[in-house]
Amino acid sequence: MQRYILGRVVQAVITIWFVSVIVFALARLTGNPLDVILPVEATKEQYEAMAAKLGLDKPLPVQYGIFFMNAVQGDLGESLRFHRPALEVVLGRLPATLELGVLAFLVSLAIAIPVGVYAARHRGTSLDGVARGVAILGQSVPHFWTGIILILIFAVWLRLLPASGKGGIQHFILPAVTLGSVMAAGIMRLTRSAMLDVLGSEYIKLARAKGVRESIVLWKHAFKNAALPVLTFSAVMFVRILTGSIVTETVFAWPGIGRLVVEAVSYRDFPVIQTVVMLMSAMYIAGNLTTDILYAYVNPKIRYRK
Amino acid sequence: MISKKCVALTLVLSFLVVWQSHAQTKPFEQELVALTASLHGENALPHMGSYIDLNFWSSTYDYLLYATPTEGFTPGLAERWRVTDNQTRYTFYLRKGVQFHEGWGEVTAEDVKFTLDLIMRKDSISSQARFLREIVDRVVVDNPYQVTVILKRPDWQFLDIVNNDSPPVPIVCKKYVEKVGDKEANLKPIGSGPYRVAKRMPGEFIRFEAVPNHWRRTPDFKWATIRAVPEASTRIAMLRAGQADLIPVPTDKVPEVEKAGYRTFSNSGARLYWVILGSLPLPTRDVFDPKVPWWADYRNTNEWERAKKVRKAMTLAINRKEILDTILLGRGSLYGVSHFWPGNTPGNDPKWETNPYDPKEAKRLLAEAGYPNGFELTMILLKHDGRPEAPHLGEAVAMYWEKIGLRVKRLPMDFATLRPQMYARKLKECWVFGQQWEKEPIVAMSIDSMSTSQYFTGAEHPGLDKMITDTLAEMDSKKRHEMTRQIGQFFYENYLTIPLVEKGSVWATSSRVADWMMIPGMNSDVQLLEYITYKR
Repeated sequence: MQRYILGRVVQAVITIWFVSVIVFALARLTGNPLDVILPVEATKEQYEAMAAKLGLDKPLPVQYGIFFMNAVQGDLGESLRFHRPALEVVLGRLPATLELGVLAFLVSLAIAIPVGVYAARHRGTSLDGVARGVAILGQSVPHFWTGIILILIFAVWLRLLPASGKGGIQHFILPAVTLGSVMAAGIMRLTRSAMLDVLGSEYIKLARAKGVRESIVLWKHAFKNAALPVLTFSAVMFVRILTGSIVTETVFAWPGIGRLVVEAVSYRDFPVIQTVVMLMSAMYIAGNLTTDILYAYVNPKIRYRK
Repeated sequence: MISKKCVALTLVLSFLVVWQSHAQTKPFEQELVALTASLHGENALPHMGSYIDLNFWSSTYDYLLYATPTEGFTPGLAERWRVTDNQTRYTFYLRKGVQFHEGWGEVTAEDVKFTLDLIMRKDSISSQARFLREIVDRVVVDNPYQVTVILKRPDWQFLDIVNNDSPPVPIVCKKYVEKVGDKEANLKPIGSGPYRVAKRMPGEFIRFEAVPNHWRRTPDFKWATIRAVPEASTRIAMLRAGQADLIPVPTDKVPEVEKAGYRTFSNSGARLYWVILGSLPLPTRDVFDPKVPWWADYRNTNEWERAKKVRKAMTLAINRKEILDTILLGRGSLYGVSHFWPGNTPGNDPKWETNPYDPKEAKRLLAEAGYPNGFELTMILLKHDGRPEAPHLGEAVAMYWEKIGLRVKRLPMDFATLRPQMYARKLKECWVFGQQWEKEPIVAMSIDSMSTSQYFTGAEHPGLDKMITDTLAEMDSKKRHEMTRQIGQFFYENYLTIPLVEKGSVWATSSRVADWMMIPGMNSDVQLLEYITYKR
């Protein structure tokens, strides 16, 4: 088992290194940050001085070497826009994204699982049709549109909730529902199909024949067995929420890393772009690593496989 | 036209009246929320950022002088100033008793000297740095309230530099910057303006608190917050939900906002748009290609005339009025020559009528120039901060050109990508450019229309270089303006660029805002918050 874990950790480290190379190269493909930082009237001397100050006058491999050595020591550079360490800037925004992500995740589970179970239990009824229709709509309607419509209804017409920004709990509701809606649709459909499989099995029929209460049949016997693929999918979706909240954060002017990275790209703020991408990759990789280890723990065939 | 003049006159008068008024001494316990699409770089020290960054701090700082919408300046921190006859010594007499925020002491001549030295510092990226380094010999503190700037050579532009007009030169606190260092002072600026910085979250918002009994203008609103909300629909929703008081409105959303009953404010001179014809390079440039139909070697008269016909055809093919009415919904005006803002711009000649829309004549000229079947060209659809209309205007121009038989490829590009190619004169493509407000066209042309310019928005021609250099050297303003007019005439007669439209910016306000004195040239970055009055 230890050997298996060690192998997976080494793979994860290599992947993160590879990501660092890719993001370093891709960020530089977007252009030169000096073209954004310096005023249009800047002289050649100002260009050269700034390039030297930021280390952009060196060849790319040298720049990468410096970046890598500093990154290993926890220094991911200084934000070209905010003049503060990039890691500090990104970590300053991370809580807002995490808070929103967690809430959106809970919202989506709270909606998707009961609806999915209900739809499976009442398969073929009009309510099942409505649930499936809403799920397809939830997956196909862009976040952007959902967000704007929610703002119009709850902020403009009803004046119940703030339209944007981060503050009290009321500020979380609209962005969390917007962000959670896409995930809710996916989880609901998966829950429904997993439940349909389980509800058709012999032990469920037996439980019903024995006169077990329907709610216990559904939640204790059926859902427990149907939950595994749902949980796996939810874990993946949770990381996706964190990394894919760019649109929602932009619509609601949410001070998270999604919005930070969009602005960093247009500002050519390389250190911030690199830090965000590496942090997100590390989260993805950590998520997958944890899943791999848990799978191996649960299923010995995996860890003993060559 | 008459109504436009009336509006302009009213604006100027109200500007002067409001400027000097001190009626309000204590702010109301109210908060103003102003929105913006982005807080840009947010640098608050003049040597660390561009003019765009400094726009947001216009109420935190004071300036030596304040630019008026027409010619001249009104006193600021400098109560008066004196310029020697040979225009090499500029002495400023400072107002006594003006205090920096948070107990950092009185504004003195040392602070003025420190600010100018800061901008001229080796690591300064200010757009004023080059000019000041070139022109300023030394800055002398005569006494705490008197400072003299001695120039290396006579120059009339100096006063244009040390005022609040873009790019502004805010007076910073020497004691504070020296004590806390550049980074900290850049993060939390200390000025002497009507609003002090109360709280700030970089990239998100800046919250200001009014300074009571301010010498220049005590704000009506005790607090003012500038918040970045990138999405225009969200900004409008916030206004409608009562969560914002002041929002910039993109042109296409103006009807929606007005229909909802919100008051809108417009100003002139947010952007002057024109088409750049691949900068018409000198024949000595590597990029120069005689096959580009609108380019020619200026030494070959026949060729120059042929290319001029093509440029004229490309100009006449565009229906500017239709562009103004449809894309800008009438929020702007037509004008005659690039760099010359409509109205009282020095050197502007009312005879430069806007070119008519005449596609028949355009086709005839093309045939005469040897292109009866048109030719291929590329229009860059430029995405440039603060110029959201540019790609749409580019698309419209491309469609008009297609109507006269040109085959136009579209190439979307952002400004940071275009900029190095423009500097290196590698572009044969055309693009729509949006210039910011500049009172003196000659100042802008000296920066962006000479063959020695890096940043280039005009056309290269040795005759033009000489005219611009001679005009800059002319100290007599009347003569200088006449020389400026002649440069405009050269642009006009040779169709060096294609003028499109002048665009105003539009802002919508909540019912809590009574009035707002907008300044010409102000774009979507909110400025001079202290002149927004509270509706009781």
